[in-house]
Amino acid sequence: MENPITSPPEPRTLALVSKGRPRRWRNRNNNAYILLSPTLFLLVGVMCLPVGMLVAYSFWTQNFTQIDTTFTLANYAAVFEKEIYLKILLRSIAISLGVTATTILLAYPIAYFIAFRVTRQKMLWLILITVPFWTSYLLRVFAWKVILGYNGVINSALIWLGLIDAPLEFLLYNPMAVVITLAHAWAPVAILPIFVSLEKIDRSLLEAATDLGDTRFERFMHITLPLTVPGVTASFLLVFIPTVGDYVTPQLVGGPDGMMIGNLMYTLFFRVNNWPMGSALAIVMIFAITAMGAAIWMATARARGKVQ
Amino acid sequence: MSDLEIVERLSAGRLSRRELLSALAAVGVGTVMLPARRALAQSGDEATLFTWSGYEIEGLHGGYNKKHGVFPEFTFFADEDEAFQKMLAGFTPDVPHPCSYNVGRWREAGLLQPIDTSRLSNWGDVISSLKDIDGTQFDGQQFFVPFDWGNTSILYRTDLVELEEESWSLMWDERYSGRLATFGSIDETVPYAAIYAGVDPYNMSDEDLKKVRELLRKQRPLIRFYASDETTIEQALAAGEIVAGSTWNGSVAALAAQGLPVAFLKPKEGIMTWVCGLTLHKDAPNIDKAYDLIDSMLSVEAGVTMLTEVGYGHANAKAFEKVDDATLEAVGLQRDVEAFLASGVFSRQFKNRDAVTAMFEEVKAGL
Repeated sequence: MENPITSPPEPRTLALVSKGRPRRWRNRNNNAYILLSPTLFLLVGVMCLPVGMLVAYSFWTQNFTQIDTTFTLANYAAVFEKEIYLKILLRSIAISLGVTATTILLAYPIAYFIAFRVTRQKMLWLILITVPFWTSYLLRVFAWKVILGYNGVINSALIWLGLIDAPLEFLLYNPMAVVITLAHAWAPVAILPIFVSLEKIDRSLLEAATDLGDTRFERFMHITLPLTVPGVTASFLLVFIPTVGDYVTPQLVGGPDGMMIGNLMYTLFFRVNNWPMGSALAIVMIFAITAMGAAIWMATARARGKVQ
Repeated sequence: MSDLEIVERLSAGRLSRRELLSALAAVGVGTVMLPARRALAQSGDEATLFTWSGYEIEGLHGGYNKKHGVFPEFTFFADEDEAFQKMLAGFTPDVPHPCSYNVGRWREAGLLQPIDTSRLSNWGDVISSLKDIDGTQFDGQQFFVPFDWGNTSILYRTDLVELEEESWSLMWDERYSGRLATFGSIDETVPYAAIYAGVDPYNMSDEDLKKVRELLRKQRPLIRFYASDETTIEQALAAGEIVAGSTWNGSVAALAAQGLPVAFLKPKEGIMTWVCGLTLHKDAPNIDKAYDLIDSMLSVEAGVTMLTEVGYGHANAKAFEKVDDATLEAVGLQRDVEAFLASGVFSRQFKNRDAVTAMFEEVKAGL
């Protein structure tokens, strides 16, 4: 697909500015860079520099408040030698995969409903989907604490109904509570890409499948699902990537077994006073997420290739 | 206050402002570290007290209010480690509020300046044995003004716990598996495990550390959650979600006021004691008002509020004369500070803080 940004019609003013310069200065790519420059500056300033600092820190060591800038790989060695780091990293990835799967499974039917069943006021429905985002993330986590809590909404209701005598204790302070809370918080992010890919499906394909004798289920499996793979992939990446490093949710509802990599990094930066170790762990996490994201991307690209 | 009531009603009494604030403080750390925040903090004209939540009540700052017509600014931390890192990252409050054992570290990191006690009108009333606590004076200069003191112990529900003996063993009692909670910070939880193990918490050899580690590992499956603030523990105790949790005297006052059947454990192995106080940031932007803030917090009026409403000991000897024994008894405080200091294991700095932190973090992670 042709990217509109890289091939804009050449504006006249620019030609005036670059009068007298060799022709190649007026090449289209330069125009694109000029258009992009505010974004590029921002990206360099708030993204590349901090990440660069993180990389630098990860090769240094710290003694109390003094940073020793002698190059060392000791922090990376520690990540793989000490059991705690990999264990928590794997746990975070597992919890995050659980969150992503739950979110997508719940988001798909909603997106499907809006795309195919809602005929009027689609925009209103989409806005309603984003309602949870109108309150602060922290308040949503607290709301789940209230719902899942010992004297919370679920326990009170079950006791009132006479189904249980004592409050259920397994609702809060475990990895499941983290999955529930995060799945709710990230639902809109998963719904929108799936909705867009469902909207883009050419309805005549569905009619053709029906004409050729597909049942509704077959039609879904042969046409609808394969064509929404890009949307599902986007949802997967949008939910998976940020939730691996989530800090607040495991802190508030996770309990001893729900601790995640974000909490460990917080500990390294704020309690152990070891910024280099925390940086190394952050870099390893970034690589782990990148690797998983790339794997998912390639797998779906192959699946898409099969469809087309 | 009506806002607070609404929030509380909305959440069926389970979401307090203190909890929200401490959580907000925990979440806000990242943004607060930005330089922009520093500018904001410095643009304030009032002295900033950097403290735990719970010290923002009006009665503690009446003197400051009388002099300046407004209350000081407050910024909260969940624990002193967080406070330390935030200041290292450039946050400059006027008056940080650490406990005695952290003064040395904070001074070494270049965060504190000496306090001229001649500028404090209430300094003469400060209980003298609190003035020269280990690690708070350097080169004959005072870096720490004692303010509050108390105990760390176990608060338990007398209706839900059958106490066999007054001992730290309650925190390892398998009858209450999943119904115990403790602080997730090393300064609160590791020392009592060490006391229970029979070793000196602040001078642990590798062998001692191993013993303590074993005990904490044994405790982990019994723990419902590791708390970062006392409010979470108070609420879980009130709900009956947990039957015992480690906390401070302030919680005794808070829960007893609600009419809950609770008692503060007096372990036979020794209770933990601590003294916290006020310091002066090296680059305090409002230094004169900072002295006013410290002085007003040392006053008799602040002391009475402290003893009756907050439930901690206070540094002003005269404040004790205005409070009767029954009130002190209700919050588990004693009148004689010398007896208090001699009564248990005084909180100091760990000899090998990094090793202790690494140990406890590993235990919490399930290793």
